[in-house]
Amino acid sequence: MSVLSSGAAMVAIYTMLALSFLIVMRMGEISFGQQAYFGIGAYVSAILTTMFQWSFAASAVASIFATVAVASALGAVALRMSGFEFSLYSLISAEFVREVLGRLTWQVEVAGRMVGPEGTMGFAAIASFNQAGLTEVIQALLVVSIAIATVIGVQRISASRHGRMLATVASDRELAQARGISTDRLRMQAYLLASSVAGLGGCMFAHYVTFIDPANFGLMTGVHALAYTLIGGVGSALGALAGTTLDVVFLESFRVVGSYRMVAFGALIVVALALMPRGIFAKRKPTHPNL
Amino acid sequence: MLLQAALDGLVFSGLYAMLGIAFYLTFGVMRRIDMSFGTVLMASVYLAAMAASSNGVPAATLLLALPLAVALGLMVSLVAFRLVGGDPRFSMASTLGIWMALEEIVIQSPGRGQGQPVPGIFEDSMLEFGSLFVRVDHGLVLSVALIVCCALSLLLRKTRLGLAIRATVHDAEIAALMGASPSAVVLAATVLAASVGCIAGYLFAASQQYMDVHFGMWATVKGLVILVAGRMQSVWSVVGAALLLGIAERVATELVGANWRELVGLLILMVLLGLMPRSLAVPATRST
Repeated sequence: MSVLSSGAAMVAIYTMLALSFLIVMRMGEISFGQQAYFGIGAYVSAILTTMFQWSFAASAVASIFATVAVASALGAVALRMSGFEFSLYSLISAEFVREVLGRLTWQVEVAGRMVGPEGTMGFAAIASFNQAGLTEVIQALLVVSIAIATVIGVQRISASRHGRMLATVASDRELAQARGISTDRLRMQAYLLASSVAGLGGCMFAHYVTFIDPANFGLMTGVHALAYTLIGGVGSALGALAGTTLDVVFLESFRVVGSYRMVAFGALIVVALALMPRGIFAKRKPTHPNL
Repeated sequence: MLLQAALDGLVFSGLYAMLGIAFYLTFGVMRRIDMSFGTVLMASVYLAAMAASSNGVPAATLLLALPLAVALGLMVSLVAFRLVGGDPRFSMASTLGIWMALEEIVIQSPGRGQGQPVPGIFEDSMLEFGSLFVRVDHGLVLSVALIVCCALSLLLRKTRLGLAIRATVHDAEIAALMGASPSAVVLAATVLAASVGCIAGYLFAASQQYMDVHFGMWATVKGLVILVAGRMQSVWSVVGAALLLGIAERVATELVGANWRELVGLLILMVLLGLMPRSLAVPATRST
């Protein structure tokens, strides 16, 4: 039961990050930096609940605000670029954010002990869930429900008029502009949505695992989440879920592969992209006549 | 003080220049980004150094590293650029998988991912100019970089292969129609890029006297930034950008202190990229 619930919770959490990458891909770009927002969400919410006794819900909202604020600033520069430059910039700015988080040292006394982030040594005792008396299963259920709700939400948005306009922008920006779609605004909206999903995911991550450090939010983490999306399929939010499940469940339980897990995963990425570049849940050709 | 810092930055300039040239070649010819390039170089030098020293001939490191780098480079070209079709960005994403796999292999090697010692070259020698000094091995990296640039420039301008490469960079489809064999050009670009990169990686490691596992992605990012900053104009614009970045980083570090080095370095890269968007939007999108 414990393995199942923790497995499900980790799938849920990393699906949020994978969704973040997916939304950017729906915009027509590949980001290498959504893990930065994952990190910001984690740290901001952890600080608020652990150091200032905020509730989890309130801290989640606050962390979304924080991620959107940072994303607006970084996005203002990033979204002027496209293609490979956008990807490179997202990578570098994410590393920058991680460096900043790694320098955050701030401790306050709560109930007789010092709590708070300690730079590269991390941030321990993010015990809000445990203090609220939530059992392990309940914690997992909470995290899974948030993830499911987000997946459904993202699917809904993709299928909506906004989503279809975004798809047009992604495939041909000039054509979209010629059709009167305000591409810059749409791209920024998509980017902010992507970052807030990652931020919310980070918030879930921090509270579920109770200990975070900057290494959790590095390029490897981001590339993993990106890979889940690619393997699962860019066509569908369910694809992000599928890819994440594949990694967390299969590869973790693949004791045979053992310490060569990254080699296996890396090879899997290559094979998946070679064989089915549209992923497992490939979207069929759009059937909307007025797209 | 600052002038000394600038001189200390030259070893990085040399490294960045060669990395930038390597990316210029592969991106120019294939219009694809190889995110595993730095790791290929790292793995080649790392494993070669390990093999050479365990067989008692550490000086043979470069001799072993070069063919390994070329082999790995060709493998990446085959797997990521040929096998993975479709959008070039899928190729780029697949090189991330190669990066992961290669790094893991190095970590699993007898070296266990610890810094692999690489014998230094003239490591204790200095050239003094009044109160300033330049380490000979740093100067070596820069000199080799400049020699490589000259040689490459000559190759590109004076040889038939160079003409084929330049034509392919400009417009691959027309170049192919005019008789430049795409596979030959791709092969040449890949081999050249891997060789130049390997030499760069080896010389840099020799100047530090070890090769760090994390050199891979770090070098990749730096090379790509130089590629963007050089604006695909020519080999020399790449060199110019590399010189500026190498020096700027060290001077900035000197100004803010070593503690903030990574942060400042990243900030410089962000500003550099932010100031020059759309430089890779080269009109010739028809690639090999």
